[in-house]
Amino acid sequence: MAVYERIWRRYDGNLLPLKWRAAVVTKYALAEAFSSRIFAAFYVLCLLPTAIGVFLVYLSHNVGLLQKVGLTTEFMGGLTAVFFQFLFLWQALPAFFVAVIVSPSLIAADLSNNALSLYLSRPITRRDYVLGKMAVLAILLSPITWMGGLLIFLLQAYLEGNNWGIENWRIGMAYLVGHVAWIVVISLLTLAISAWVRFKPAARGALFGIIFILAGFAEAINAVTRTSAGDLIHLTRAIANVVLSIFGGPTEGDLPIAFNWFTLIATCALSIWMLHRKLRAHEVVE
Amino acid sequence: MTGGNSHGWPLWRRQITVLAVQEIGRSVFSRRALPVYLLAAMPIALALLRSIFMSESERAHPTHTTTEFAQVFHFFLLRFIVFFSAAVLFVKLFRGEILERSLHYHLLAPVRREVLAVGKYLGGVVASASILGATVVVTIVLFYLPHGRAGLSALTSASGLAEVAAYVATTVLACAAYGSLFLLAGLFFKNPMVPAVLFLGWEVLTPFLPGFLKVLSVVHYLGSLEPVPISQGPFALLAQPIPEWLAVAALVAISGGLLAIGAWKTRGLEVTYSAE
Amino acid sequence: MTAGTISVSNVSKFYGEVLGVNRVTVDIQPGLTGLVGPNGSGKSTLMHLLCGLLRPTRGSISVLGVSPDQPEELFRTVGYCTQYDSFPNGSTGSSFLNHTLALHGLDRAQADRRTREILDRVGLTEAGNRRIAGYSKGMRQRIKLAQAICHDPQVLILDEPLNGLDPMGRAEMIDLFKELARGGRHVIVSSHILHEVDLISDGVIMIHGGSVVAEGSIRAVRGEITAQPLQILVRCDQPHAIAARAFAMPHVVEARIVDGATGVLLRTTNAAAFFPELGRLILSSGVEVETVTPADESVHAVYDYLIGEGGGGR
Repeated sequence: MAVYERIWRRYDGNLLPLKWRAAVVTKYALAEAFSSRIFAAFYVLCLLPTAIGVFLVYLSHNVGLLQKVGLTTEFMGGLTAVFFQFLFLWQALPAFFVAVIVSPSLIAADLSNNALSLYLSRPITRRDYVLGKMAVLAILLSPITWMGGLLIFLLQAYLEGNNWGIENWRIGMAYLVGHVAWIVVISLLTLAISAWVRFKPAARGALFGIIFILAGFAEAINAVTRTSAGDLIHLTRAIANVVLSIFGGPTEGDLPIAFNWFTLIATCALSIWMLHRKLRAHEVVE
Repeated sequence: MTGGNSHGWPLWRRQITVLAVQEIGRSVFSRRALPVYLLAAMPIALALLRSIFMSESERAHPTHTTTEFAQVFHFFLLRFIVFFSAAVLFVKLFRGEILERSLHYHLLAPVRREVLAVGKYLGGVVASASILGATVVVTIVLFYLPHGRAGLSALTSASGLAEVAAYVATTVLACAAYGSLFLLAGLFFKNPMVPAVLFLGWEVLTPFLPGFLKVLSVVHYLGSLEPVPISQGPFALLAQPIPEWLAVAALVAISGGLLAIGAWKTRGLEVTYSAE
Repeated sequence: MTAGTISVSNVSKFYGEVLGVNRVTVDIQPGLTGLVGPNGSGKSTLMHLLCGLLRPTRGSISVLGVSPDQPEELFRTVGYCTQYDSFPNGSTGSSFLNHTLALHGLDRAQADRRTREILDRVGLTEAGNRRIAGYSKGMRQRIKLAQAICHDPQVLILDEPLNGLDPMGRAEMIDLFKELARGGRHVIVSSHILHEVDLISDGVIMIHGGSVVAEGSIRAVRGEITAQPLQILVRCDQPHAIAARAFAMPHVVEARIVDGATGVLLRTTNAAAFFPELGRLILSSGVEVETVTPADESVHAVYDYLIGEGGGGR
C-alpha cells in the first residue's frame, strides 16, 4: 500500500500560443452549438440548397441522363445568372436562420451567467473574445454560403469549359464577396444583439424584429416619401443590391450602390460600438 | 395580520388592480419598455419624413391623406408595430419573469393563479393600448398637420374625429387580441418567438386565404373595423365584409378565450427555472 | 392529516426521468424543524412541493389542512424564503415588500406601515429605498426573509436562509427563527451548516437521494441508529479507572482517553443498559465526575452515520 502526498503543482504542459487563445472560445462555442441534435439536423438541412445546386449543374451537363428523363440541357432555360442569383438567396436565407439560432447563445449566455469576467480574467482580450465568437459563425456559415457557392461555380466552370469561368467571373465574385459581406454583417449584428439582450428567446425575437420591422419601416418610408430613402435602413435590400451589382444585373430602388455599401458598413460599425459598450469585465449596478 | 382579511370579489378586484398597476409601471416606465417606445417612434418618424418630402401641391390638398394613413395603419402599424409591441410586452408577462427568475414571488402570494393571469394581462392591455393608442393619434395628427388649415379642419370634422376614434379602438382591440395570443405563447413555449413569427406569417397571408381560413386570423377582424377600406393587392381573395359589431365580438371572444386558456395553464404552472 | 400539522403523504416528484423526491411521508409538528441533506438530495424540491411551486407526481400534501393547490388560502398562513437570488427588476426593498403586502389585501397605509416594521425587524430600515440590485448578498437574504415573514405566517419555510449572512447577521436571524418558532409556528429551515441546524432545531428531517432517511428529534433519531454504537463522553478526574471498569460491561465496545486525560469516550451498543450501569460504576469507584454527555447525539453525527462517510449505519 502506498500513501501519496497530494500537493498542488502548477500545470507544466504545453500552452496554446497566445495568438490562438481565441480559438479556445470558438472550440467550446462550436461544441455547444452542435450539442443540440435539432440544430445539427437543421444545419445539415441548410446544406441542401448547395447540394441541389451541385446536382442541377451536374444534371444540366449530363445529356444522357437528361434524355432518359425526357429533358434537354435547356431544361431550366440554361444555367443563367438568374439561376445563380436564386441559389444565392437560398444559401443566404438559411445562413441568417443559423446565425439567429446560434448567436444568442454565444454572448447572451455568458452575460446572464456572469461568465464574461471569467473569460476576461484569462489571457484573452475583449477583441479575442469577439473574434472567437465571430469565428464560430464564420465557420458555421461559410460551408453553407460562399464555400458552397464557389463549389457550384467551379463545377459549372469545369463542366462548361470554353473559358466559361473567366467570362462569368462576376458570378464567382458575387458569391464570394456577397456571402462574406453577409456573414460579417449578420455575425456582428447578431453578436451585438446577443450582448444587449441577455435572454436568448428575447435576443432571437429582437433579431427577427430588426430584420422584419426595419424592412417594413423602410418600405413604408419609400411609400410615403415616394423616394428610395428608406433603403438606407433596408438591410436585406442593401445586401441584395450589392450582390446584384456584382452579378452585373439591375438593382432595386433608385439609390446608387455606394449607399447600399454604406448601409452595410454602418450596420457593422454600430454593432461594433454596441459590443464595445457592453462587453466589459465588470458590471455597473445602477 | 390586520387588513388582509377580505375574500372573494373584493380581494380579487384589489389584487387584479395591484398586479395591473405593477405591470403598467414596468411596461410604461421601465427600461423594459424601451423596445416598445422604439417601435412606437417609427410611425411618428414616418409621418415626419412624409411631411419633409411632401411636394407643395400635395401640401395644399389633403386629398390622399386619408387613404395614405389607412395603408400605413394597416400594413405598418397593425402588421408590424402593434404586433411586435404586443409580442414584447405580453410575452414578458410570464416568460420574461421566468427568465428573470422572479415569477415565484407572484406564485408565493395569496393570489389565485387565474387572478394573477387576468391582472397581468389587463396591465399589459392598458400599457400597450396607452402607448400605441397615443402613437396612432400622434401619427394621424402628423399626417394631417402639414396640410395646414385644410388638414386640421379635415381632422377635426365629425368624420375625421370618428376616423381617429375608429383607429384608436382598432388599436386597443388589436392589443387585447394579440396580447392574449402572446401571453399564451409565453406560457406554452420556452421560445415564444417561433410561434410569433409563424403567426405573423399567417397574418400576412390572410388576404390570400379563402374565407373559411380568414376567420382564424386576428387581422381579418381588425381590417373590418378600419374606417377606410384598403386594397390588399391583386392576388387577395375577397371575402364578405364582417359587420363591425361581429368583428368586435369576435375579437373580444378571441381575447377572452385565449386568456381563459392562459389562466387555466397558470393553474399548473411550476417553478423550474433551471430547465429554462 | 390534521389541521395543525404539515402532512406529506407518499409524495414523489419526477422531473421527466429524473427523480426529485421519492415516496416521502412526513408529518411536521409546530416548532423549528431542520431539513438537512447533501446538494441535490431533494430539500428544495420538498419545500417547493409544500408551497405549490411544484406539483407532486404522486401523493398528497396538506399544510395546516390546506392543499398547496389553493394558493389564495395557503399563502395566508405560509411564508417561503426561496434559494433564488433574484428579484423583480428595478424593485427597491420597500416597493418589493409593499407589493407583496398589497397582494395580501392590505390598503396602502397599512402596507406602508407594515413595510416599515418588517424592514426594521430584518435590519434594513436604512436600505429600504435603495434598489435591491445594489444590495449585498446578506442584504438580499434579509429582504427575502422579510418578504417571507411580512404577513406574519403560521408556517415559515426557509431554504438556506443563512447563506451569505455575516456571523452577527446569522446570530440575529437564528434568534428570529427561534422567536417565531416559540410562538407555536412551524418553522422549517434547510441548511448545509449542520452545526447551525443543531443549534436551532427541535427536530430534523434528513433527506438523501430524494428519500427521507430519518425524521424526529435528534436524540430519537440517534437512538434508532443501532448499528453505530452510542458515544458517551465522561469528564472526570480518573478517566483510566472509568475506562478499565467500563470494559467489564459486555456492551461497551470501546473506551478512549481524550483531551490529555481529562475524560473518557465510551462507545456502547446498548444505551438502555449502559446508563444505569455507568451510574453504579461512578458511585462505587469514587471517581469525581464533572459531566456525562452523549458525544454523537448531534445532527452532524447522525448525518454522518446516515448520509455521510459513515453512511450504512441505517
